[in-house]
Amino acid sequence: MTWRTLALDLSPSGSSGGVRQAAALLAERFETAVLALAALRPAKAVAGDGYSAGELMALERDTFTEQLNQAQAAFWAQVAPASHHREWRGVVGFDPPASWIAREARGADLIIAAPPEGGILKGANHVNLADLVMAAGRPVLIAPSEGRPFGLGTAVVAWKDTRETRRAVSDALPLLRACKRVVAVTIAPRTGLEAARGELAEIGGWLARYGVTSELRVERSHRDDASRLGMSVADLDADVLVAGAYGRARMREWILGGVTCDFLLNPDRCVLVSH
Amino acid sequence: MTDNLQTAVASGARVETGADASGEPEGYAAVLTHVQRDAPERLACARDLAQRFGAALVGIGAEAIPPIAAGPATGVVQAQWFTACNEAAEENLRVAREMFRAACAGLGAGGDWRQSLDLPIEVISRASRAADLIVASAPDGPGSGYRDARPSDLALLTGRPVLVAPSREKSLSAQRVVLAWKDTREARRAMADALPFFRRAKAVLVLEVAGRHLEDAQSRCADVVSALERHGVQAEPSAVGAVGQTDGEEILNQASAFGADLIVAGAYGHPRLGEMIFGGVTRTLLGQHELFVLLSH
Repeated sequence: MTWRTLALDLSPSGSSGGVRQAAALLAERFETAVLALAALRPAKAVAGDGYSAGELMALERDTFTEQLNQAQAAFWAQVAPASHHREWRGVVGFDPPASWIAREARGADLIIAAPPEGGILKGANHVNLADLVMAAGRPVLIAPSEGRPFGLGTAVVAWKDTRETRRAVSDALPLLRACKRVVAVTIAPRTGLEAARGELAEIGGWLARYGVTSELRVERSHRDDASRLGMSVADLDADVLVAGAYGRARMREWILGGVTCDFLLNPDRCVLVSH
Repeated sequence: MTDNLQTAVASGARVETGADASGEPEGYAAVLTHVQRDAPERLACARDLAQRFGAALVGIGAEAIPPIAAGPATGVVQAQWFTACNEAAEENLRVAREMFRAACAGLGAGGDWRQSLDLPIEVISRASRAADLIVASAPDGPGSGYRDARPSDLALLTGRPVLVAPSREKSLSAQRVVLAWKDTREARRAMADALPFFRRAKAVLVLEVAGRHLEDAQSRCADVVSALERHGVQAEPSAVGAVGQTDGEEILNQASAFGADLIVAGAYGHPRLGEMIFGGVTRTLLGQHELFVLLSH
């Protein structure tokens, strides 16, 4: 299987440069259609008398329209030139932006989104990325504008035997097949190293059925598994990290590859997650 | 749990080696099924699909010894009872393994056997990490969690698509397939998971049973149809209003009118107090005995 349709979240909440860059690269590599989506939600209740509230709303609508126009122009400039299908859908509405994006991306094989400024779980008026990942049912590539640009060099799989990780790895197959180097990393306590090696070997065998050659790494768990994983990723100089994700927005917690990953709040490279 | 699996892997016989690494599998690379002596048709179905997709067949032998009910039984009696159960389970697994070995004969991509004296749902969940599709069928009668893995549990817990065979002996042609569409996470999953089936089908119907806003449903179905088209699948959209019956029944009616023998759908449900609570459509699809259903969660 391969990727044929990309959906981009280009909501003007943060910096979308990373999304456009990753999209341009993947669209060319996989010859995909690209569907660009952008959603903004107006402030619901405006205090004051009806007259000024109406004026404020009109002002806000103008600002939003202007922002959407800018996002659309940037999209056509960077992603558009191609023989394949390109489409823009922008909306200002009261629906939660994350559910709108998830619904409109219904035919997409992959969604590419930016981490909103100020952290991954923020954004009531903008797309809440944790909500998007949970609702999409499709893999989401989180592409920051700062840090390492997306590339098809080294992919690191953060393995942990959960439903979400199994999903993430099979969702990422087209990407893993396109990358030059694939490393599967798992973190295990001292007593579980043998078992972890066996588990990882199974994954390696399964990936091999798809023609993906992978290196397998079992890291011994210390106090902080999240930074351990972060170190491996940096050490391998990964272009992209693949992981199962479980977001708990209310607890302001983002669990990635089985560990609570605070470093994802400010990702320094692309991360492909599935729920 | 992990230790059990390790034992299972260590004692598992590798019947043949895996797929040819140079040939890219067209869809599913490994098809997994729970092999039981009283369900030969499930194994036959899984084998047939593995053959069709050029996939490896992963066979699971799993049965757990039920705990002994509290009672007046003395330690000696308990020990005897345990030994008897153990022997019966071992014998079942031995037969299952023989069945699997026979099924793998002549299979292009070979087979993998895993066995463990543990709860089937646990063993299958762990083994599913190295499989793409699970073939399941409901046990005859009420079944027992110690011996059987319920299709619904597999769909909700493994993270893999589960093909549920109707309990009667039926073979799957999958020439005409219905995608039961709904704008939900589960349906989006199902659509992507079922691509290998769609690509091999002669006709695919993208069906949404809509409430009031039929035009919205039509444009949603059209979206899905064009996405499928980019994957080389010719599908037709169909948005219908439910006429005086449940959505599930409407899906079944439309599917039989279309001449389909496979329905692809999202599995809706969540565990509550150890029991699975299902959505209405999922319950209807699991309760019928005519069509194959591919469920994703």
